[in-house]
Amino acid sequence: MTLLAVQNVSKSFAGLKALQNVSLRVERGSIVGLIGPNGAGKTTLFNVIAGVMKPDAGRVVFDGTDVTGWPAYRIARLGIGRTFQLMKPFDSLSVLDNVTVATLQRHRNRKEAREVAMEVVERLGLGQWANKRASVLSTAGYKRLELAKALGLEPSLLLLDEVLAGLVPSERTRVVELLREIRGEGVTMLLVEHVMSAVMALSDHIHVLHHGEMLASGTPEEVTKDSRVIEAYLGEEEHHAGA
Amino acid sequence: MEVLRRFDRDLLVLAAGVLVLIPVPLFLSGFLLEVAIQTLLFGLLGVAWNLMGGFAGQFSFGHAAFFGIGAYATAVVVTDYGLSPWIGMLLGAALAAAFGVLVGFLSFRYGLKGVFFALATFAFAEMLRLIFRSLEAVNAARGFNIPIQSGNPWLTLQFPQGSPNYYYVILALLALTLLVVILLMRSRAGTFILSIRENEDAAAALGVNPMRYKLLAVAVSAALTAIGGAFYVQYFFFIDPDLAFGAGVSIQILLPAIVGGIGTIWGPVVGALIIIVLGQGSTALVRTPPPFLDVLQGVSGLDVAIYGALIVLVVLFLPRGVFGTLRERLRAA
Repeated sequence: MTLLAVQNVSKSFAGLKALQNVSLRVERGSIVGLIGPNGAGKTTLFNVIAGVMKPDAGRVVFDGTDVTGWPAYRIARLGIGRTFQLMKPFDSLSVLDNVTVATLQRHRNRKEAREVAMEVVERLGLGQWANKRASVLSTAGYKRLELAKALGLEPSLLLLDEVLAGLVPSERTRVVELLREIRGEGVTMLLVEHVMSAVMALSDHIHVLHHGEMLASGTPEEVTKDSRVIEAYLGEEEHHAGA
Repeated sequence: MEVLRRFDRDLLVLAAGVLVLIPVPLFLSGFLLEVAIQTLLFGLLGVAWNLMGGFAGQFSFGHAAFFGIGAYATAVVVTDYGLSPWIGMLLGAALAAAFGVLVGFLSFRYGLKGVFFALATFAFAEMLRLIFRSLEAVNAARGFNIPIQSGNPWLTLQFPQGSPNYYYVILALLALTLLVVILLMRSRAGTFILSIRENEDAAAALGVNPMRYKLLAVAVSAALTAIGGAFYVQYFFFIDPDLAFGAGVSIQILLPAIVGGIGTIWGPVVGALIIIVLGQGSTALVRTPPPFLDVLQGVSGLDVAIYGALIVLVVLFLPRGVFGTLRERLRAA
C-alpha cells in the first residue's frame, strides 16, 4: 500500500531545472533510498514533499491526501517528519525543549509532552544533555537532535536528509541500528544518503536522481548493476575515491 | 524541567517583588516618587516590547504606534465621551492588538526580517503620527488635555498631584504585564514562539505555524504597550501626536530591554531602573552639581550627553544587557 506518491513533479530555479518530471512511490512500512550525485535535486525533492517549496508541476499525495502546495507546518502535523541536511537546532533552547516543540503537536499537555520528549531524547543517547542548551552539542549530537526532533512528531513517514554524514563509523552503526528499530515500529522512511553501505543495507528500494531526472530505480542489487547508474553516480564516486 | 522550574521561580520573584515594592511610597515622595513611577512605567513598556523584540525575535522600532493608540483611545474616551479611562485602556489595548496583527501580517506575509522589519514598524508608527497630526477628529497637532472628571478617583484614574495612588496603579499594571508574559512564555504557545525565533523553517517542520505564533506575540505585546500609553495620558494629563507616536518614544520603549537584557523576563525591569536613574541622575547632577564639579552647572544638553555616554558604555561592555550578562555569569559559575 502506497504511503507517499510523488507524481511528475517539476521544479525550476531561474531557468535551472532542478527537478524534471520526477515520480516515486514509497510503500507503507518500507525504507526507500534516494541517491544521486551532488546537485541531482535530492534536497529539492525533499523540500517539495515537506512543503518548503511548491512544485511548478506535478502532485504530492500522502496517505491518500493531495498535499501539493500545503505549508510545511500542515504537512508536518499530518505525519511527515524531516531532518535537515544543514542542521537547524533551536540553539538557545535546551535539548529537551527542542524535542518538546515537536511532541507538543500530539500532546497538548505540557507535562506529558515533556515526558514523551524525554523518552525520545534518552533513546537517542542525548539524555545527559537534556537540560543543556542545544548549542553545547557536537556535530554528531546535532545530527541526533535532528532525528530526535523529527521522531518527536511521531510521524508515519520520516524524510531523512543525510543523517549519517559527518558521523564516525561506530556512531553510524548505532544510528543504522536505531533506524531499523524505528522501522520495526512501523515508521516508513525516505532517505537521502551518501554513505553507500548504509543505503544499500537499509533500503528495500532505491531511486537514483541525476540532473533532476529519475535515472533508475529498483532493489539495491538492480541499481548497483545498472550501467547508467554506474556511469552517472558510482563511477563518479570511484573517481572521487581515486582522487 | 529546567524551563518549567525557571518560570515557576519567576512567578515567586514576581510575588516577592510586588510585596517589597508596595511600601515604597512610605519612604519616597515628590521627585523621587515620580522617578519610581516612571521606572515602573518604562519597565512595563520594556517588558511588553521584549515579548515581541526579545522572545519572538521580531525587532520593533515602532512600538510608539501601540503606545500612541493606547494613549489616544484613552484621551478620546475620557475627553469626548466622559467615560472611565479604564474603558479607554481596554479599547486601546484591543485596537493596538488589531493594528499589530495588521502590521505583522503585512510584514511577515512579504517576508520582512531583521532590519527591514524594524524599518517597516518604524514607518507604520510615523504614518500614524502624520495622520494624527492632520486629523481634526483627534484635535490634530494640538492633541488632548485631559479634563478633570468627577467621581470615584479609582474609576477616573485621577489623583491629586503627588498622590502615591499613581504608584500603586502602575505597580499593579506592571505586575499584570509581567504575569501575562511569564504565563504566556511557559505555555505551549511560548515554546513555539521561542522555536520560531531560533529557526523558523525548523519550527514549521515540527508543525508550528510561524505566522500564527508571531502574530500572537505581536498582538499581546501591542496590547500591553497600549496599557502603558493609557496610563501615561492619565498621569501627565496631556497627549499630542509627537508624544504619542514620535520616534523618540519607540526608542525609549526598546531601550530598557536592550540595556537590561533582551529576551529575559527581568532584563527590561532592571534596564528601566538603570535608564531612569541614569537619566534623572545626570539631570540632577547638571542642575545642582557637587562643589568640585560646579563648572557643569547649567551647561545645556550636558545631562543628555552624560546619559548617552553611559548607555553606550552599558551596551559596549554588557552586550547581553546588565541582567542578561549577570545571569550568564552565574550560570557559568
